[in-house]
Amino acid sequence: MTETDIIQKCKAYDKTAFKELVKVYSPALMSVCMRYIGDRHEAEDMVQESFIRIFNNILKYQETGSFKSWLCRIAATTCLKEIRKKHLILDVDINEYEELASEDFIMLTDEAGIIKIIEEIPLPYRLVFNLYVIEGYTHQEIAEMMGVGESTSRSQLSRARKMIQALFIKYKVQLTA
Amino acid sequence: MVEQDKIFKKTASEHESPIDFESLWNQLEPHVPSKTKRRPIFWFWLAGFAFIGFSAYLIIDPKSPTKPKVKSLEVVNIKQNDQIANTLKNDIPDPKLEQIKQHPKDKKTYFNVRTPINNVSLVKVKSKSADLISKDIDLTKETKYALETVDQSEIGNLNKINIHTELKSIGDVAPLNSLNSININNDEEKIKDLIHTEAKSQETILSLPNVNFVFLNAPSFFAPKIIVSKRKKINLLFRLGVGISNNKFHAPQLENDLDILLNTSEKSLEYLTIGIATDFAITNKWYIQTGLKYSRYSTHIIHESNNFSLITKNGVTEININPEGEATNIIGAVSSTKVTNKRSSWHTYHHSIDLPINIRYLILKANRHKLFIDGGVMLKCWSGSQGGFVNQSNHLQKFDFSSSPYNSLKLGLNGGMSWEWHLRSTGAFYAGLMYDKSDLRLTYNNNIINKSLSSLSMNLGYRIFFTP
Repeated sequence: MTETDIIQKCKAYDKTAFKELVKVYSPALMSVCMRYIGDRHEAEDMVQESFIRIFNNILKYQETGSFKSWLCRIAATTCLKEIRKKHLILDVDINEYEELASEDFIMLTDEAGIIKIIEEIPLPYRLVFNLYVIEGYTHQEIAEMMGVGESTSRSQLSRARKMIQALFIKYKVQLTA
Repeated sequence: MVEQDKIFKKTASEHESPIDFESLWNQLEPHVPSKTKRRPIFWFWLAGFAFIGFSAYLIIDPKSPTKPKVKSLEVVNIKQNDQIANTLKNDIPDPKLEQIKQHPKDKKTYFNVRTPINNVSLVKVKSKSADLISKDIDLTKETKYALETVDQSEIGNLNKINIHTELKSIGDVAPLNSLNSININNDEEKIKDLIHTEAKSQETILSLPNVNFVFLNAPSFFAPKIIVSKRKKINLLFRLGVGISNNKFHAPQLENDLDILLNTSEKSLEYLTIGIATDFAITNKWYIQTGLKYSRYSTHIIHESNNFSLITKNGVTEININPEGEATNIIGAVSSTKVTNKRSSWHTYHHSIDLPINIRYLILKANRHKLFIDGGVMLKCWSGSQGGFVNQSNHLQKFDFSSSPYNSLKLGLNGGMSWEWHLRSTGAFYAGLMYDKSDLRLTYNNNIINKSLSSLSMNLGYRIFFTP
């Protein structure tokens, strides 16, 4: 079943198409949720929640942009909503990450390293990094989504970048285009 | 950095994490929507169309399709120039209108005005129907009066107008009631038929308006001077409104981003208003509305700040590697910075009591329904604020009424559209969509920041009419 078939049949409320939709896109959505949530068990719950939202909003998909991007954005906003709902008080030890930079233990492949690095960034910075760099939101949009100021969004992105540099050295990740 | 971002975006977008599909599907399967679940949307639309249809039914005359468009002519004001004898008091006939022959395509219907009372000089003819336009007739100057009609055929078929006058006296002059029929087409046969069928076909006979004749200063010798006036009614509108608001800070004189900080930290919430108002008619379509109004704007402040503190804990201070290559970690005290992200939530309320002065224009009148547009200014009688704001140091600064840094400008703006449904002669239902705008000044550290508040609210109320 092609992507277009899945979309059209889902819009016609075809159950087999919904099953195919979940089968094809659940690994991608799991990746998104892992990037935001970090914990595997909670990420699975978020994938489930995201698919329920996708089912209920499938008629709103206009077929103008990438379908996968649309699904991933729903997963991202679902995770963000959950994080905000929990009112997480964040406790981040920056020096701990700076110390890690001086250690030298693991060597990873590029893709695995990049994903691991994203998942290791502390939560508030990871959220901004994911939303700005991966999803492509602006600082204004992030500020509205997270309920913070634009300046907070910018500073957290800056901190995320510093941590990534430290983690690059730690994991000896070499970026290749 | 841009190149690095691209690599991150590409890698993360293409990355997939394994997940147990069967377990996931088992949990999702009950949530798969079916076509039957779309029924609420269908019922929603059906209810919407039913509401619109019912509203249209109420606005358009629900009684009868045969009801003539021209419903009534109303004599509302007769003033006597000269004094008349007391003996005339029981014999005051009504002014008469006679239709003039005219071209069938002429959209105006002309009447000759004749008065059997020489002393009566002014007749105000007013129609209750939107199809006729009211006009004063000065009998000393005019002998011809035009009633403009939308549909010539309706007035053309009209045979009879009943004018009901109710005389009200002061002192020793007794009230007088009379019922007078005016023949428009001079068709005696039709009039007779109509008189016979009057009881059965009230729809074709115009309804009966009221006129008050007030006898004042009745002297003993001369006849009382008659001042005929329409009964003056006072109206009071009680209304309650709820809506959405918007707030915007602006600090053009400040070079820093304090206004950006304020705008991003403070979000607008609901708007509440309650008030009393009265209308004064200037003409048939123009009114002045004034009264008192209490308003409350609410905002929500979400403030996030980072606190840094130095802490000491155990950690790896040294790694010893022996000749065999085995590493041993030496544990000791390590100092580090603890970052605590604190999120605060707070509300600010701006209260005000205003004196609105609005101009209202009647844009549509159909049966008992009226549609107005209005707009004007609001004079601030009192204003007060309580809550907080995020200051230049990125701290949430709280305040109450006494310590409020806000001052309100003395003038605001409001306007909107309203609908009134005259349920009975003593009352009308009111519904209006109103826009309000007020400006405040926040004074902080000798800086002045403008705060603009606006709202869009749905108002419901009831207008009562009474004679004092």
